[in-house]
This record gives sequence, structure tokens and C-alpha cells, in this order.
Amino acid sequence: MANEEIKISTFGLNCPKPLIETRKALNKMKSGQILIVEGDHKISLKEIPQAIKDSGDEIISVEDNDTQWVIKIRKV
Amino acid sequence: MGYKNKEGVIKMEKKSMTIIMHSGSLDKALAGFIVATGAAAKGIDTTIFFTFWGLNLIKKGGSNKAKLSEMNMLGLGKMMIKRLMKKNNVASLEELIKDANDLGVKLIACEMTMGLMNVPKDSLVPEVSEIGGVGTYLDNASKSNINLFI
Repeated sequence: MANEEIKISTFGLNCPKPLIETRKALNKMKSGQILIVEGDHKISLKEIPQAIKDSGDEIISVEDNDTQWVIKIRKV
Repeated sequence: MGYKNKEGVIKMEKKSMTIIMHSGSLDKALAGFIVATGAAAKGIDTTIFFTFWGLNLIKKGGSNKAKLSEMNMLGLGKMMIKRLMKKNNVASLEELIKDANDLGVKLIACEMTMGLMNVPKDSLVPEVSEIGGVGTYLDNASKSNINLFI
């Protein structure tokens, strides 16, 4: 099930919860699995990809629809 | 940030951080736990060393009793801040302590001040992973990239 996708919502959450929830989800996943994080906390749109790069995981895509965003991550 | 190993694969250097939590105030504890959980979420190994008033935060039921460092106004200020936090979807101290534990933040209680302030081990929350002294703290701090005193 390496390509299995897991989706979490961080809508309405404030700093640092979107980042924390992203990491908690990644920690429960297996290598190769994909995490889709949705949310609307503006700063997290920049900070989540940075945190993912810091830990060596891979950003697949970042979609910014102005009022909300979607970040796709592959767990290394 | 990273280095290449023998196979040419870029390995990330593991960073670490320590916080001395000396204050038992709600606002300072929030700041400390936000930095700690944020760091852990970024893959930084994080340790919080609780001493003096900070020990009150890791006593069973203690985080709930923390007051504001300023404008507490006999608890009125704390009530207002807590209401505002809820309104703005800011995580409570209790939630952040739980998140810190989930993300593997190490909580160390200071042995000397536990004796000084009569805080027995069984009065501490189970998330406390270790009891140590200044040597334990310095072992961690001397290897860390970020060291904070709150």
C-alpha cells in the first residue's frame, strides 16, 4: 500500500497546530505514502513546506487558492 | 543543512534544541511549548528542562492552575486570554503538552528543585521522561543548536 494517500484538514487551526498535525500524521505513516494537508492558515503555507524540507521529506505540490491551500507530501 | 554520505545521498544533519522552563506562568509556558512543538514538528530533537516555578506546569493538574505573568488581575486576565485563545483557535497549554509528548519532546524535571519545593516524583505527569540535574541539562545543551531560558 505504498501509494496510499492520507488526507488531513487543518481548517481554522492557528499557529503552530497545522504544522504539528502535519508532523503527527507523517510520523504515523510509512515510507512512500502520500500526505495531503488542507488548510487556510496563511503562514503555514510557507512554514509547512520549509519544515518538510528540514526533515528530508518531499514536497510533491503546493496549491494556493488564496483563501485555502493544499500541500502534498511524500514521506521518505 | 545536509551532507553527502559515501553513496552520495544527502543526509540531513540532525538539529537539537533545549529549553529551560523556569517560569510557571501561562503565557511564558505557552510560548515555550509553541517553540518546542514547532521545533519537534520541524524534525529538531527537543528537550525541556523544568525547574523552579516551571515544575508546577508538569505537576498533575498543574498546567490548569498557571497564571498570567502580567495583567492576571486575580484570574480575570487569565479568563479573558483563555476566552480569546478559544475564539482564535489557539491551542491550550494542555493540548500543547500532549502534542509535545506525541512528537517526542523530552520533558526533564530538575531533581534539586523537586526536593527544594517538595515535589515528589509521583506528583508529576507521566509524560515526564527523566529526572536530572544541571549535568543532564548541560549534556543536552552543549550538543544543541538552540538553547532557550524561559
